Amino acid sequence: MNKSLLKRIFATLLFNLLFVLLLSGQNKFTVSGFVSDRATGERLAGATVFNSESKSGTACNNYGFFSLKVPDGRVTLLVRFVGYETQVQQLQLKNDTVLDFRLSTNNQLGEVKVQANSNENFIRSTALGVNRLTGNEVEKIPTVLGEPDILKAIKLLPGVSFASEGTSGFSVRGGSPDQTLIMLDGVPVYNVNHLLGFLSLFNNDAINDSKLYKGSLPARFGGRLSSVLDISMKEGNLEKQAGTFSLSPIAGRYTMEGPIVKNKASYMVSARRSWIDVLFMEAQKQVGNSEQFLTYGFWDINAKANWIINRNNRLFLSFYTGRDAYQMREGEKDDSNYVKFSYNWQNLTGVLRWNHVFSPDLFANFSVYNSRYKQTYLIKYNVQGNNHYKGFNNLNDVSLKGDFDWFNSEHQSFQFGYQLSYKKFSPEIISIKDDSTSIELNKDIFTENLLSEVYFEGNIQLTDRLKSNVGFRTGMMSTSGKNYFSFRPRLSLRYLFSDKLSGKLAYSRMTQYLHQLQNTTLGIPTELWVASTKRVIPGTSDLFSAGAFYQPSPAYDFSAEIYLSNLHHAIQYKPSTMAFKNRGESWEDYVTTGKGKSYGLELMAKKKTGRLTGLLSYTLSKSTRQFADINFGESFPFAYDRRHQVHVVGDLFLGEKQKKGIAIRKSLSANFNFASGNYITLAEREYQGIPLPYMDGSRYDANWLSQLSLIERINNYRMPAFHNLHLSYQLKRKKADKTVIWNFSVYNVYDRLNPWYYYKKGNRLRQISLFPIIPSVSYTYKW
Amino acid sequence: MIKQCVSCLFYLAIVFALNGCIQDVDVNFADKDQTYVLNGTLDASQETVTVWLTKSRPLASDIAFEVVEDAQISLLENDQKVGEFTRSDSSAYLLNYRPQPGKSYRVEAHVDDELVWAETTVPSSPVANIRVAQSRYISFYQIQLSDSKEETNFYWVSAIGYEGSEEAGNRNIACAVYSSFVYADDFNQTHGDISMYGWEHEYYMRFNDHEIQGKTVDINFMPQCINRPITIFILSVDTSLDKYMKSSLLQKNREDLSGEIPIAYSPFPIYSNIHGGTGIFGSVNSTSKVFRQVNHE
Repeated sequence: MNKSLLKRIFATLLFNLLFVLLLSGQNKFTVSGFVSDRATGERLAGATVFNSESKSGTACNNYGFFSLKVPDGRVTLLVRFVGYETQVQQLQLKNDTVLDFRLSTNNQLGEVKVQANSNENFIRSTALGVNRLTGNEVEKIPTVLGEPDILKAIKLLPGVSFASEGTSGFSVRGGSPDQTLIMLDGVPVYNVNHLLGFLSLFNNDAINDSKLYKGSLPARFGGRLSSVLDISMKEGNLEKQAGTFSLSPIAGRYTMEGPIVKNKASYMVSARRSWIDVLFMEAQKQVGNSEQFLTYGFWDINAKANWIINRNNRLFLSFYTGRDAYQMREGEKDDSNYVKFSYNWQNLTGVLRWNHVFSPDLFANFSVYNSRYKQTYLIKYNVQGNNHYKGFNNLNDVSLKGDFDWFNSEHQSFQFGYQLSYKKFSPEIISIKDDSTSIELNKDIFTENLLSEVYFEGNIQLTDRLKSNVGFRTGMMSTSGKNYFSFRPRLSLRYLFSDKLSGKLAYSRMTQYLHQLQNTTLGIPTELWVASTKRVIPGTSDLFSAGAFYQPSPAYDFSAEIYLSNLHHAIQYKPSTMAFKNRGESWEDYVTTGKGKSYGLELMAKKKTGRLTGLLSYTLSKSTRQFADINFGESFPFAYDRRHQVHVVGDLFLGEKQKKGIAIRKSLSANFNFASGNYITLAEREYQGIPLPYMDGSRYDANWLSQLSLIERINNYRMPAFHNLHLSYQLKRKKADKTVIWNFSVYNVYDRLNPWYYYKKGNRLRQISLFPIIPSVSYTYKW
Repeated sequence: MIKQCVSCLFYLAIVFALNGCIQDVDVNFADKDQTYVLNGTLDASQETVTVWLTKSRPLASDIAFEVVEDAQISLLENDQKVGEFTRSDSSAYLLNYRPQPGKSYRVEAHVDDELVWAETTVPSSPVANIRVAQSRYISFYQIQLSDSKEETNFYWVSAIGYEGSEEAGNRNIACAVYSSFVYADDFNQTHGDISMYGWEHEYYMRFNDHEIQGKTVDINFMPQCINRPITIFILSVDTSLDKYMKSSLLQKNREDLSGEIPIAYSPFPIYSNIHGGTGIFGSVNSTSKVFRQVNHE
């Protein structure tokens, strides 16, 4: 962007900011407090508090806190949140007032009357390209084998693209999967895959809410180039003990939550375990193969506790760990042929957060967290393990954050804060040990970096119609004697054409100090997380977006957005790195730096109330990459590039009836997807090779070296279009506090064999499709 | 190691593949132009240099590779022309010349007003003493290698022997090399019978001198699937041939495995250092020893 133009925009905004600050000293009082769920006590992030007299309002922050400046005298406040009954409160204000609101969910009614949200977030806020999904919404979307998955649901949103069917890896507006910051309770999670990427590590029973930011990225987020997915766990029921037990064909989940001290402290623990390893073991027992033994499984645990110390102080402690483990054993334990191969990956996150209300208009949250990711492969040649080959890829992130919300006046609020992070990357460590030797390779090539950043953002009502969110994030990343300073401005503007129509513009500059190097687009954790170093400079991006938002009635949302993303200093493995890289050499020798460009159009229509609710999204997009050492330096299509994508999600409420005191509710959900094929690399021609030394004349030179595959261009073939339809029927039986949910689903109803991958067999190219029509049943019991 | 990771994926792929479907597909790259293919290896032990010049063909084609018959091919040593190749009956072009270690060579093929060329530097012969050694229970081959400080080397170890008896004449390279040599590259390594000889390496055991530069090391190993007389050899190859060997072996491994069970991997280009076309022009030097009467049992 033109620098002088940028300067002029910022000068104008700064002038407006000072002007508004000077005018803000009117006689006004502050109404502040928390908005929470009446039944569980959970705070409702994003709920809106609207002053119907002045037509101004505010949204609760991530901890359900709000603060609103209102003129003295009589005011009427409307407190609203999607899925909840609107609460109306009339007040006669004579001084600052502290007021908490507890909203009731509207599904306690006999029929579905999903209350539409106000237009506060959709039309009036400056947020552009922000999509919200709750755990309950995710549960309704039909999935393969009945396991609800938030990352699968994310792919139904406009601007989100996927590589292979069924996998959880995704690209947002042309960014690589590692360019989306995925956070669980504010903590980055570095590998989000279970089951080789076919399932994400987010247990839906433990998830409360999620937000995907892909257009205007607030300054409080940093560190990734394309988007942010902010997922929050349930806090734990402050009112009563509750639980959920779920069974699907691949895993079981058990969740407990409840008060430790009623309305003061609560907990939530949720555990999930796969059945696959049990099935593997049983199958092998049946076959009677004692020589070779194979197993694969995963588990995860989410836990959270919170303590309301007093009105102004609250503590949260969150914890997540999960592990995937593949094991293969040959020979008995005391056998000389004993070999055990294992391949594991594990995430561990922990965060302690302290909410403090300094004053009715100043809220703060302080966090200290640790996020670790470890990937291990191990070959043991005896049971003791003193004869082994072991490889590690480790990442350790320790951070301290402070986030402040200052609700300065009716027309302006500010967020500011800091972050200090220490990260240690230890990729490709190899340990080899046998009776006579013990060596460790690459143990000296770890990278440590220290990040210190501050941010500031202001939500400022510039005129009655024009509102801005302007801010910046700046700081320094230090690594191996090298300092990288960055200044990243953020700007979004909203112009209100009417109460039903607004237009928005946004620009964000992002910087990324870490990279994921991948040899494959599958979610298989063969990738490395590496840091920017002296030689590999941080990536940057410039994200531009604009959109129109229309809400003809509270039941419907329509939006149209366009975007342009420019990536700079992206890194990628050079071609054939797997073949050329020597053991003991650094990954830095095998990466190449380049750029990327993505642009597109996103259309979305949403129906939020009535018997039929749903979403229709369409994306038209193009995404390319260009690297000096790949594809002869020419631009090539990004692996996630899909020209057209259409997603339709619908949920039809079929009715409710009472039978012997049991309320029986039925609903039908459908999901149709269409996407242009994605790009893969295929051989284009064949050529004659030569035998390797001393192979000449032997039987081995006859076939494969006489006929080699010639690949000249990367991602040179677009696969056929992808489409499928899934249906699910949900039967909910509720009696008093107990609910039983049966979910009958059919994945890929019309048995479309979408290409999952191509591979070469002899002279033929073959297509493999993984997911034909798959019926499944899942069961959930809540109390 | 890679093989283990891939095999891990295979078993999991089976589970999904049981529910899935495999079908043949036609991919049309017919509009792609033909490419010149130049291949050749300079061997410091040979008196003749041979290069081949052909053209590529469409994918999955049954037609033979088109031989380029009218090319003018010359060899330059340190930028000085040493001779012109003459075409044999096949696609091969021959030049009577013995390449010298330490010298750089450039091959130039002029064909249809186009220039196809490549360069290589011939490595020194590996300084190695090859013998049969005996531990408490087993005998094995041992190469005592003295690495050169001055050169960056890429080594490949294997053996040639006979499948069946010598009289049958089926001469073959070892199907695998077993060794517990800790600096061996793991790209073609799999877990063999470690208690006897160590890890299994498909066809060759490769290592570079990154961790042993200027040192003398003992490499113990045992070739498999071949009978005596056995020729044990250690090759030192230039960086281009090293990459060609490694990438082609790796791709062969992937294609073999995907022939059994479909796996998802991105095919990668086999290394080429040819300008104006594809193929390989590399160089090799070697030390070898023939063992006829040793009883390895």
